[in-house]
Amino acid sequence: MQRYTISDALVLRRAPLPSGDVVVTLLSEHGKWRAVARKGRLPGGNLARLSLFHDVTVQAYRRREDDLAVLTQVRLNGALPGLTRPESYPYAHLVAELADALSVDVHVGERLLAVVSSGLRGIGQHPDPEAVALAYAWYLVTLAGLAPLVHGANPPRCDRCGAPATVLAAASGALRCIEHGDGPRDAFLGEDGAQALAMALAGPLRTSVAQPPSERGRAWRALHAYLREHVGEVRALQGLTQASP
Amino acid sequence: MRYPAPLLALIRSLSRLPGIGPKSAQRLAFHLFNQPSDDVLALARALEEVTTGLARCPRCAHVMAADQAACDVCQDPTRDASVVCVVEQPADVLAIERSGEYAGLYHVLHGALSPMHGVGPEQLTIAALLERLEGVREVVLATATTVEGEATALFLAQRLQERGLEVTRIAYGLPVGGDLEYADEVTLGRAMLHRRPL
Repeated sequence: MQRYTISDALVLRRAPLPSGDVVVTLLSEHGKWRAVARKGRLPGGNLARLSLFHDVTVQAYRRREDDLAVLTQVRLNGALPGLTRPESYPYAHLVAELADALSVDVHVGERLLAVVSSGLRGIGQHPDPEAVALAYAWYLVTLAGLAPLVHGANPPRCDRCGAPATVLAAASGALRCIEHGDGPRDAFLGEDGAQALAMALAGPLRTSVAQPPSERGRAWRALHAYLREHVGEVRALQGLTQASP
Repeated sequence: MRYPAPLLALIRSLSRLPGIGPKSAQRLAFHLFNQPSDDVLALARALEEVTTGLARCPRCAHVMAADQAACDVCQDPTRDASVVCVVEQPADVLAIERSGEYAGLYHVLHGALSPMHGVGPEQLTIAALLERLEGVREVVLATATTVEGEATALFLAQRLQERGLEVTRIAYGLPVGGDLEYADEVTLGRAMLHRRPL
């Protein structure tokens, strides 16, 4: 077994420990993995480059019996300073946390790293980071094979009766009319919102970023309800659903 | 073989501490078992006093003795009350005090914004900071230079500038004694961006 490995990776999560070590969750082309950077909290050392959302090349050492790889070298390839702005920071957390949650049980494949990197770049640079985050969140869900069912297009229709879809039936995982929804756990979107969601699920990312839903609050609540049913609690979404009207 | 119940309870409690895994917890538990009972009881008393003898300062949220009205820094009349330095943790106050270069007051946030860990503005002492700004001229943002610390500083800067306060950020740059060759691009880039005349 090869003990030393070198990988290009994105820092998805970072948990500093009182001992001065940092446990990081890294996303590389081969998937998601966790590692410890001994004394990674000390400024100045090469392990201190393991900041959240940074694109790094890491050398890791792992013995067969170890739970976590130990990082021995870190080289910074790129940082995204735009992500610390209050307008974009919560959305960057959402994309990173969602990518982390989606790659627990499902092998999302090599594209995940490219999609997450491009999503974070978009959130850092686009004038409407919220639209980018919504589009990428649904794209990641689709990439993981967990997208809700959409029946028909322009407008999407309820799969039970053929009426225009207005709610996201979170438990059933489908766009439906209000009559055939699941009940209290449904997320109301309206016809426009259902149309925007159908486009985010089927269309290219560029289009869904350019034509975001007009009712953002409904869109976030729908995403939150759906993820809670099919992925688990995504903490970064709590602030977004509370902040949206 | 099963551990006796008191030993098992001790191992479980110790392994919940950050940075201590089950093996270390077991080693510490056996170490404590072999110590004189006076030493172990003194440790137990010290642990108990963490909950009963310590509190947060009602002004700055720094740690203080529970029987104090305010922490030592807030009570010190020689400190410059027109400057407040905002830090993430109580340990940061001690680090800045060791530098001997700051004579203002502090405000401890008890964390940094991190939505993926469920830490938003409500989980920090930001509301208390915004309420104690009467007579304050300058707020120094001394959160960590991590992404989380930087985002927290930018969030606070927006809120504080709306109130017409002078907001400053601790300087970024190279560590003392460091060679340029070994500095990373971000640190070096910021050191160049925030250079100052000599």
